[in-house]
Amino acid sequence: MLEIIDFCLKNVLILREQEEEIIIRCHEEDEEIRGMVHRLQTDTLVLLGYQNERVHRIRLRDIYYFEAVDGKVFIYCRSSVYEVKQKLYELETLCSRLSCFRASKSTVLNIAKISMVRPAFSGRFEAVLDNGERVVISRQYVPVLKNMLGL
Amino acid sequence: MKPLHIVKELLRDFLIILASVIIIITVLRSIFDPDEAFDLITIYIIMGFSLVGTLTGIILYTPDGVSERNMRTRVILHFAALEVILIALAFVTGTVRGFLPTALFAVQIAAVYGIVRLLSWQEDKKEAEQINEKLRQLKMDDRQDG
Repeated sequence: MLEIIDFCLKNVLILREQEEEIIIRCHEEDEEIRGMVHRLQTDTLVLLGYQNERVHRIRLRDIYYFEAVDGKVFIYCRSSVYEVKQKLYELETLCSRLSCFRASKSTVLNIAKISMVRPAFSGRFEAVLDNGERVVISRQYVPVLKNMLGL
Repeated sequence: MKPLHIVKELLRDFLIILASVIIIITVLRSIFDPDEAFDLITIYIIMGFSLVGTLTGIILYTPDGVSERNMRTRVILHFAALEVILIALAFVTGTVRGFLPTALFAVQIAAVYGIVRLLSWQEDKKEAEQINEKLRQLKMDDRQDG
């Protein structure tokens, strides 16, 4: 299978002024193709994060979650936090077709960074992330997560 | 949370509370007072108690995202409100009189509260297990692809 894909890969060099693009020619859009598209999208999506008057380019795959606090929106990575200029609903729309979902009124969570989910004493759910951080998932958004996971 | 969803959840809680109270009272009466008649008014009183108790559940529904600590406080408040309202109603209707019956009634409320919380938590645990299974699968797929 890999040999066939290697054989079919074609790189066409374009001028600097032209926009780069990737075209996938396939017989049908199956899980494998969708997975490939998903990886390409998550690898290439970059957001600008601000920290101490410095601007950082942050890839979606490095983002754990977004949180809105006092009118500002922050990006949480493994061990660093950046402010982002977009509104939370804009980020939700931008990232929803990838692997992010609204976990509560103030957070958008990256599914790829969830280590496990467990019910909390209060009747809500708690997501334990790969870096050990815990984020609350409101009951009303659990069906959204299940739907994105195909449950 | 949508109003219709809240109504559905409240209705479910009402039915669980009503069923639990009926079962517990039936068992207790069978043991301690088997000759006492179970008249229609008693059923209505239990239904009334269950409904008022269920309505206190609104304390737990919040329009804004609140912290886990806040939610835990709300759960305790909810339980306290439930105890106060139901004991007050029992006094008003004359169902309970004296210290010992009141204490027994308070314990019954706590038992039903515990059952409802436990059932709800078990349901959530099942749901969490389903999600975790899928998450594990996704991570394995990612590792294989990566």
